[in-house]
Amino acid sequence: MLVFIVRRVIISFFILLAATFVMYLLVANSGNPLQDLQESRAPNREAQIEARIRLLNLDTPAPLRYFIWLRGAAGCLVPFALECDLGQSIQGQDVTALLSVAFSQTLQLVIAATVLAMVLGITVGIVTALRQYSGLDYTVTFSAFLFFSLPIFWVAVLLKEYGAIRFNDWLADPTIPIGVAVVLGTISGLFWMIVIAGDRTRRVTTFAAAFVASAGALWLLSETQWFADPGLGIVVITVTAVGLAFLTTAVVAGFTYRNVLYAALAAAGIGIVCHFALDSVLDDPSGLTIVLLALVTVAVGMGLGYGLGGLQRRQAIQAAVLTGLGTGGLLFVDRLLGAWDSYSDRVGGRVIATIGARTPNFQGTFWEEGLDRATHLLLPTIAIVLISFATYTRYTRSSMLEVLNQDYVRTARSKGLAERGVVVKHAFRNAMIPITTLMAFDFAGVLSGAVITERVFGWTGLGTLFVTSLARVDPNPVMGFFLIAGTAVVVFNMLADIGYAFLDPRIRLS
Amino acid sequence: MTSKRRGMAFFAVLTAGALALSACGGDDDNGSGSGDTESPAGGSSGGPITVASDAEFTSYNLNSETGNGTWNTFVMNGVIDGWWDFGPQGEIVRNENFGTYEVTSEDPLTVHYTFAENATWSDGEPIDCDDALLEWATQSGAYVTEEVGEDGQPIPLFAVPGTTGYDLVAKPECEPGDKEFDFVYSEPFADWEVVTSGYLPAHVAAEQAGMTPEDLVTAIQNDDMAALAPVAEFWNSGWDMEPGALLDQAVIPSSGPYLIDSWEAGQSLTLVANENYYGDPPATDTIVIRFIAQDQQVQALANGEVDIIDPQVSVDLVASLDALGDQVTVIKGDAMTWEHLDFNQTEGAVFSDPNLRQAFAMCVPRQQIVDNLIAPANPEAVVMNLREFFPWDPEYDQVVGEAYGGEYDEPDIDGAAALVEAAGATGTTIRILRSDPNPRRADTVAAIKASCDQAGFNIVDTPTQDLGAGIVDVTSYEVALFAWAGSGVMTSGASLYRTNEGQNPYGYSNADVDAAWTELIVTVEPERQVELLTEIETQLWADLFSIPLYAHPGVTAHNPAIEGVQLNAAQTQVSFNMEEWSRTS
Repeated sequence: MLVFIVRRVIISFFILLAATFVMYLLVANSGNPLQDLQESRAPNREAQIEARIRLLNLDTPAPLRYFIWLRGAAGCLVPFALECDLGQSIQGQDVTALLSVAFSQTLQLVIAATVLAMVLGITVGIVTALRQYSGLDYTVTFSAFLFFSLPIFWVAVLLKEYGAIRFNDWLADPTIPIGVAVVLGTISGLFWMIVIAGDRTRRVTTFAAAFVASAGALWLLSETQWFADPGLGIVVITVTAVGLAFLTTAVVAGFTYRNVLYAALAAAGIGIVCHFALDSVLDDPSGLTIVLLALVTVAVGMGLGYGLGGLQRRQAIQAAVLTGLGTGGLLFVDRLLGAWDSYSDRVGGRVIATIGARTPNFQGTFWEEGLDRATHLLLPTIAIVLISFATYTRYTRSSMLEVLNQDYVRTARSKGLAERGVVVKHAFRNAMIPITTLMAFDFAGVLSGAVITERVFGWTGLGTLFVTSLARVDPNPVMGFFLIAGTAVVVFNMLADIGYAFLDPRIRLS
Repeated sequence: MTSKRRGMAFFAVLTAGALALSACGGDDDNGSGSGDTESPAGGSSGGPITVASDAEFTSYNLNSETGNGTWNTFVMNGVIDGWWDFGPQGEIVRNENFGTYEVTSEDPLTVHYTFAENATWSDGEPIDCDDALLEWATQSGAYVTEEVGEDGQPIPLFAVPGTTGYDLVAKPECEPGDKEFDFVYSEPFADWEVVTSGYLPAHVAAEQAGMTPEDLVTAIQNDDMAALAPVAEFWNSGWDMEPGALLDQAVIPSSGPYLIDSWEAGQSLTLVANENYYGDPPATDTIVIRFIAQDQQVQALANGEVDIIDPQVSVDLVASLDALGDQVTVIKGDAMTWEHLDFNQTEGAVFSDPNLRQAFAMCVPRQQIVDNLIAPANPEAVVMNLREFFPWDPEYDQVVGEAYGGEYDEPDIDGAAALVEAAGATGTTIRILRSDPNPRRADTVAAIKASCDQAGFNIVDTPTQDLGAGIVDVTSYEVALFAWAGSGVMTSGASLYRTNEGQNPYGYSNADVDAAWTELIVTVEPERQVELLTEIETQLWADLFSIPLYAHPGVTAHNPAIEGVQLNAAQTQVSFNMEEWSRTS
């Protein structure tokens, strides 16, 4: 293993080195960095041109200039001993400073989006595999390919137009016309009908129930002006938390033994009690408080599972912790929505943002600031998720189908295992192995590939840095970007290979 | 299987039902507020105004080599005041709050500057001769280090973008704290008025260099290079900032209506009113400058995230702004950047023959180019007939009347064809050099080709990535199509039209033009300046040095609730009058 890693690192290093050389030449020859000054008629034009030539060493031929850059960059390999100098941008700023700002912005943007795309994509992928060739499967396949082939700049601009500008306009008087409620209700009815399937009577019943519930809910929300001041309320929290307890139990252990369900329900119950008990604590908490509460939740969940689990102790702990965290999440969302009204007032009713990472100089309670972050993250996250979602569903579905058709799965079924155990324990785990590789690739890709999303939504991350610098024919920031993006690809590739070896004992790395 | 299905059906109804039930839980917030949305609570000045800029701020020092950039001007317009400012059309507007100045002698040219008694920095320190003296020390290039640069010239102690004009000024004589001083020029200088305007705080530079302001004045008076070295070190880069790392307030005081309050890297920069401002207080307390890419500014304006945008113009941009209807106010007009066709008249080039230049000028459809390419963005656009005046300058009509007879207003294909034939040049290839990518210039060349090919030329579009190098290589083109950005500085034209000047690679030489420019540079009297420029324009038209086309269109758009926003044609950008912006509702 160690030999493998060392060899891999050495090879990657030389590949990166060669790539930087090619990249430098390409950027340096991509245009004329003096163009704006040459068209200027300012009296100090010659002096400005002279200054820029000196700043960027433009009088040195590009292949030699690369070595000047390399000498500075080499310092980054030896922290503390040498100075890490990635040169200066055309505006005279240190590239290292530019990179640190851009990198943190990009991380904020892509982490949530990537995790969400993974969770959603894998879940939907499994469901479509279990319902192969059903209406749902075809619908998901169709939408996955549709999203995958959409150009992101176009999606992003549409999202801004309809998700932000028009939606905010609508929020000024948030009523849903009855016709729209009927259409959305029909869509919801069709969706659930396909998911649940069954014979004709069951389909009709499902459709009717989902239609009435959805269309009615929309009508009710509209009538009560819920959208102007949304929230969950104790009733919804209770019902959803209990539902969550049943759901996690169903996935983790099934209902054969009641101990697990009791532990999960107890976790949900404690969460609901906390809704009242922690009222003052949650008025304006700090980020640290929230993290501590999450840790306490995990501890309490483990305690509940340990105490109530009996023979199913391990499953009970899992179910209780998951239910507890889920209920905590509900309380969090409820509080966040509780800040909606005052937040909306403070931003002039324009709740969903089209640009930037937050409202300038916005200061408020933890919840208002959190909502501010969330409304700025919402649209770019949707844009990234839409694109990544497609690959995850397709890969998960095919990987899952392949595993489900294996002999050992048939053996498991024929010896009488419950379907839940077959899917969750036997099939899912093995299906995840190829997906691990995909995750590593995807994360490295999103890190460097959110260029357009960042640009359209005004996030000054790595992508924006890359594009603006390239337009200015400014090699140093481009090279900084390239170092990060290239290193990410190499590192995540290696992590995928190592992870593979851990997950699949048949694989030897050497 | 069935029991599982039932479980899922239950869950389906549950989620839909949850939505319904939550309707009842919607109003459980502790706030007193109703569900209605209200506009943000405003103080006396109606809340902050947000303006979009497309590039990040980098430096407080606009007068240094690294700080001298439009992205810094955008911010510093509100922070540093000076003797005068460029108005929206490039005119000079004096700032009497800061001080007054007048020419007291023509020979030698002497300008007497007097600071207003109450003009102070935001930290209370008076703005006085110390600041002017530091400015002279940095800008005049009088101090050089012992090192020699690659060009063989000694490296100046203070890294400045240029010394034009300042190098003619003798060191002002004044004592620390004086409120007035003289600029005495070694020879007359036409642009004496724009030589100096805003200053940097000398007391801060002195403190950062570890000395008192008095020591600094003494050091400059005695040309004490050893004492000035630490000052130069701070001045050259000490006011530059990494993204978001705003310097301490004590280091960046304001002499204008606003102070830089905070800066979030890549997002925004906030200016707040300077409470110690000696002039009229600004109309709005807080101005937020958000950094937003050009192509995203229209949607940000539509969503109310910015109040004012000042983007680069394209026909698409204007269409998308117009589509917003009365949600936004759009101001269309001109920018001080003008498009022109320059003839390569070097020995042996096609256009060294004046008759062919005339034939080309006769076939270029100038009015059609303006109507098709510029009028959609600026309905008021006109064909430009002069090079040294813009159509909105007060002298324009008078000078056009004398310098240009109107013979090239409309294309005369037959006349052009006759001239081409007489010269035996039918079918001659004319390469029009232009920058690439640039759709508008591609369209311009296409329009010229459609017209001039009929007159017997063979027009070839010659796009280049590197226009600067292309123009210098006079074998690569017959005509160059590009734009000059107006600087508001009269004498900058000298290097374009005089024989063998740096920006005249076209081989143009006219003794009368040379003489007129040489006189203009040292002419201070405005009437004589116009006379000389009229003579220059007349000669340039007679020789057909170049064909001016149009001034670029400019667009500024803003939230209708904001008052006081103006389109700025000059390079000082929309923020030039930020102290006048106010929110009405």
